[in-house]
Amino acid sequence: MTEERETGTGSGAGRAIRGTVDDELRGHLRQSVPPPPMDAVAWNDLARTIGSRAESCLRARRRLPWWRHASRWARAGIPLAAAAILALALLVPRAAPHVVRPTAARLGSAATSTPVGAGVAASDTSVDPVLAFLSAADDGESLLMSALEEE
Amino acid sequence: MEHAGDGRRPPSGDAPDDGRLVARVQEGDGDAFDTLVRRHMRRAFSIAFRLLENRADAEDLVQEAFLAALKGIDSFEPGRPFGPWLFRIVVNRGLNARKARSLRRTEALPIDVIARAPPPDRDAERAELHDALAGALERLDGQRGAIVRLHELEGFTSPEIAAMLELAEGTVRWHLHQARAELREVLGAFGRNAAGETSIEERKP
Repeated sequence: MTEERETGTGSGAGRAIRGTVDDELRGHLRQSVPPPPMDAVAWNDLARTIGSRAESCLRARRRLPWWRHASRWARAGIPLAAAAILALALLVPRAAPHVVRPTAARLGSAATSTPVGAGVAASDTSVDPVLAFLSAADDGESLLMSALEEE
Repeated sequence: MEHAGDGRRPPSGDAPDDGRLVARVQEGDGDAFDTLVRRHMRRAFSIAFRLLENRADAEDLVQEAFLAALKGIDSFEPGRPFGPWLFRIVVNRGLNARKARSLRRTEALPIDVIARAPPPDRDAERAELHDALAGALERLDGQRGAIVRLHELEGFTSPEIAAMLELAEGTVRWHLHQARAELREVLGAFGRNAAGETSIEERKP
């Protein structure tokens, strides 16, 4: 392969001649510099030396905390997590009117109609049924304490 | 030129591919690292030797390159071939080593350069031409010289060299074109005729 052929410069005959020259040049170049002495290298020794020099680094890697291993997945994990959050943010508001509102309305009316729940604002209970339950329990406890004191 | 583990072909048989080995190395698996080393060290050594022309320096460079690769293994992108990524480290470090060596060039020549002297049975004309070409190749500046060595001697293609040196493919081709023009002048100075024969008698003054 010659670069002149790749780049397509010059006429066809010119390229052919230059291609021949380049092939000849390559041949001469390969004879001009010594080939890598592949047979002179002790490959096993070289691999062992590299392995022993790498041992401390590998040992440190084996002791890495779990989050360092997990962080390698961050490249794929972060976009996936972002996509999942976005999908949830889009889907939950659509699902919410059918599920949340009837329950909240029921809790709100119960809180305002019962004596123990009278102290809790309807708007709070409609937002958080747990809060309604806790404040009702507080009221019940205080009523019980005052009755005991009267006795 | 055939090299074991040149990073161009997937491993045959049941041998795990480079991506799996890298994942295991990231968890500190020494056996996986050893497999990667044995798979790619010959090609890495060949490249290192082309750049440094000295066996001991090339072996040192291979060691340093593998250790640097291990230290930066988390930056390796899964799914990409390991070989070119490693060879980029070899080439970058090799170019730095050449630069450092050229600063102390006045010292004794490395043994492999001395060994380049023509053997007694070699044709004198060809020997002279080859010495001139070797000198011209040596005089090419760092990056251009590396591109010529990788392409003409190691057989890497322009896109592979571009990826290794983080250059545009066109830039690699331009360097090759310029370098060849310089080297062709050496051939021309030795009176190379249209048939590709070289003759001292035809040599230009």
